[in-house]
Amino acid sequence: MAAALIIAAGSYGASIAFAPRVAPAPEAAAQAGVAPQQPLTAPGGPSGISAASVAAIDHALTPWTDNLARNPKDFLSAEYLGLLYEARGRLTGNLDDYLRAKTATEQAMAALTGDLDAGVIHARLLQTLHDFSGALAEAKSIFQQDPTAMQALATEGDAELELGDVRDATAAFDSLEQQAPGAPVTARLSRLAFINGDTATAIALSKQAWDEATAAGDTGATLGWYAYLAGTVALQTGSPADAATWFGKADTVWPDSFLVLGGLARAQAALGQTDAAIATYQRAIAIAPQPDTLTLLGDLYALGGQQQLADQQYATVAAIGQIAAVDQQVYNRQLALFDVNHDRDLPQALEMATAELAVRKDVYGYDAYAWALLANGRLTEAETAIQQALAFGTKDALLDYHAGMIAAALGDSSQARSFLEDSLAISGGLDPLAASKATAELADLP
Amino acid sequence: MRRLGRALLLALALLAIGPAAAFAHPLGNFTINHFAAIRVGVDRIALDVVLDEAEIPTFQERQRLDTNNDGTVSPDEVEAARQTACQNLATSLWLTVDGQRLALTVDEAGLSFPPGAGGLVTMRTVCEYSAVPAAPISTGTSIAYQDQSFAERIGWREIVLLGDGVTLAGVPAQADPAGVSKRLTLYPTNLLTQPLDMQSASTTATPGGPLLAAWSAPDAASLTASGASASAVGRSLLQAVPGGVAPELGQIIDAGGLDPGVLLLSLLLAAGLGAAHALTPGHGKTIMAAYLVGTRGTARHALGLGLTVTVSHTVGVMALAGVTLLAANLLPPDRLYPVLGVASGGLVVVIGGSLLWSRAKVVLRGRRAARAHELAHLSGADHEHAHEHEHEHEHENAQGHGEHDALPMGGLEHSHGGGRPHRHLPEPGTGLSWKSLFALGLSGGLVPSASALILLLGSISAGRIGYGIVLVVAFGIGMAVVLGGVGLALVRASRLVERLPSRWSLGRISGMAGAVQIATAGLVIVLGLVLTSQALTTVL
Repeated sequence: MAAALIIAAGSYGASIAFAPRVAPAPEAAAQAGVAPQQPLTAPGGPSGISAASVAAIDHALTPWTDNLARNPKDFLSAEYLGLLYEARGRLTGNLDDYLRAKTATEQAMAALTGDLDAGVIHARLLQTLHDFSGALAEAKSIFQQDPTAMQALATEGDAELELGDVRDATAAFDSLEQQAPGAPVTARLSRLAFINGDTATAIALSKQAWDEATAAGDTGATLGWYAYLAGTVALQTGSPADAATWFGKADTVWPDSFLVLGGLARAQAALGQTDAAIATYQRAIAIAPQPDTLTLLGDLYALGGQQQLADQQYATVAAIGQIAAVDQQVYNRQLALFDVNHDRDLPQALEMATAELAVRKDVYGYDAYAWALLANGRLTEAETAIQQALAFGTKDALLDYHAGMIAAALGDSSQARSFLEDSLAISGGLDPLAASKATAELADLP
Repeated sequence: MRRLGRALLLALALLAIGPAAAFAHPLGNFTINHFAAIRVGVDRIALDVVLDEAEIPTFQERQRLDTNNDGTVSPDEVEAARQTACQNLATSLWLTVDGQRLALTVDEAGLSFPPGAGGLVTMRTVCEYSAVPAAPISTGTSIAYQDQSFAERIGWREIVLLGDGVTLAGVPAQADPAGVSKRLTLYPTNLLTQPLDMQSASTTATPGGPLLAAWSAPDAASLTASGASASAVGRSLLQAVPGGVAPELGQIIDAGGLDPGVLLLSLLLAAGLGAAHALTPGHGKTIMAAYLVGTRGTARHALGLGLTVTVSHTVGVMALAGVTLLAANLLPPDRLYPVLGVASGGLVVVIGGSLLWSRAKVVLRGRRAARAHELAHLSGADHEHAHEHEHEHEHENAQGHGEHDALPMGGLEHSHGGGRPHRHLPEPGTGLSWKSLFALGLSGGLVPSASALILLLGSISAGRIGYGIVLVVAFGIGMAVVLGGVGLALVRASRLVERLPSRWSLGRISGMAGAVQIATAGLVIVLGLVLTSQALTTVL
């Protein structure tokens, strides 16, 4: 599930705060914590609106909704609604909020042709909704028209990274680092370092991003997101105890976040605190039922012998997958891995992984494809695909685990042993189900 | 309802490309939405609380409702949940009068599962509570309400305060008791309308003011009422009827504009649903088939039977809809349904009995007649093969037998040395009275399909009575086409069998045909008994 973790952490669009040309109603601004002149924000961080709660955002929505209702050509109100709904989506995990945000920015773009500000938000929303090539094209076009639009450059780099174009992403982030240094760029460089396999740098930069955000006076969800990032990096690099500390820190500044609670539960599970992990997962799911947390909770139940409870969680994951096209687009990869790991619909998993790889050739795209190929018995193709994933150089327990299982299936015991040992050496890098399977396979190797 | 009605085409798309294409809940597929209308009277406060859970929470909730873990939520499990749902919810609802929390008494409860996206359902919980303040409302009494249920989950939250002979400060006199969301059935379609989020409301009350119109929740029933939950569109019947209803129903009812194209599509869809309904097991096809074979019915009879089913079904649906709407308290549909089932089954037994009786008579009479027949042949005299016919079977004019003459001369149709061709089997349609045919059709149509009933009730509640009737007729025609078609096919098939050249002697065939008829009559009786006993188990 480490891949799912990365998806949750990394694929949300990078953002720069859109500064409305007219200040919002003062009380609404105060309620929602609007920072009118905020620079770039982190990928996945709330976009310039560090609202403490959904209720505060809903309160702030009122004046802008009324404005737009009175005058549908009011592009500023439409843009601001786009920002607010985007911020709401980051808190709720409700994809419909992003769709509302997208509708709002589209209304702004229609009302004011060539409105780059609305375009920037729109591109970021496409990124969030996993239309990476759409986001890339739009961000590139905006950046060509306005070379000072740092937010567009950031979205361009984010989209390139998700599409597996590490070289161009690096160029974009380096350029950002030159022109607009700060926590948002540092966070992006941390993730880039992780993808490149430079884990030490990834860890250091994630901590640095937190420090920079604190120094910049960030609060609430904005600050909490950097702690979440640091926790995620710690968990993926074999330090579950550090991860738990970071997620705890995130929880204090950004309470009741399904994202943070999901991370904390993973860290607790990695530390063997199964009961605490189950309770934390349940809290996260009560706020927003997400496929990855449901899957991991189900795995904990299954490993504890509570198969019926496990099956209930798995069934819910499957139900999410069948509801709506937008969920399928966003959770495609999670659902493919879920199907494979729980031996459900293997041909469908391969179909999803194939479709995903067609548009998204990053390290985890090849990895999911390889994993689905193995499950469908196409060993040599799986071997080729996992090699393409490994070529990125990313040091992730999940990649090693998948590579090890593929090598084992091909009868290469020494390779398999080496990969599986590597994957288990990254403490907590594998989710409990994968860890138990890797351990069992290792014991079975001739 | 609005969410179901985005387009009728959607329903067709659903049929064509599978469940994944449907729209999700308008507020997001894991929202839990709340509505409360609080009617403040001088000495009684009534609460109308509705919870609308979107697909994912409903999916999770249904896993909990499935207490025997058989993978399906049975009517009993739904009823068990309905019995406790409102009591459980009450612990999260805070109604205070002058700071004092009042105990909420559950008067009525409803639990239903309106169709949602992706082949999933949503869940609608309706709770009608009442509370009695410690002292009657006096000037300046403060009233507050707070809903703390599912506080962590996003969703629409709406509270409507209403004075009932009481004036509430800051509350408009003409407030809609069903709220902006019309009790969580009509969410704003404009995506940019912000979701309502009222977790609490408070006011002060002064006695005096207009009385409210009497309120009775259309989608809740008292806890002592047996059977599953009631609902405006008869959702209770969902569980009462084998096979349940098709999820497309809502989309037909709620077709936005009724232009000719939409109308035609919805009629086709309704007919399709009727046809599908007739194909599901338990619709008397076996009985019909046995009857038609046993009585050697003709194509005309098969079609007549289909037509009878259509008419009786349509009339039955309308009658039941009337009962549901007008006299639901006296005759709850969930009680009425099994009674109709017993009546239908009993009717089948009676038909089978009369069939058996007439067959038996014929066989007895046939033995006596055989002797006289032989004598007539020996003497070469012209004679009539009266057999067991009720209608005249004239042999004088060969042209009258054109149909027979065109047939290959098989063992069943022959002439006795220069005589005119004639049969020794009963004529098609013999022993088949239109009266008993109608009775059979009535038994087939007597228990109305819940789908059709909901089509009609839904249309009525949407203010489109005529449209609903037309849809139900279309539904019945769909049923008739399938049932009539099955009958027709059987008639044709049995005729073919009869015409096969046979190695058997006439006597043996005749004997066998009689046995077949008696056996089918017996089969009709047995099936009628099975149907009756099945229906009885739900009544007793």
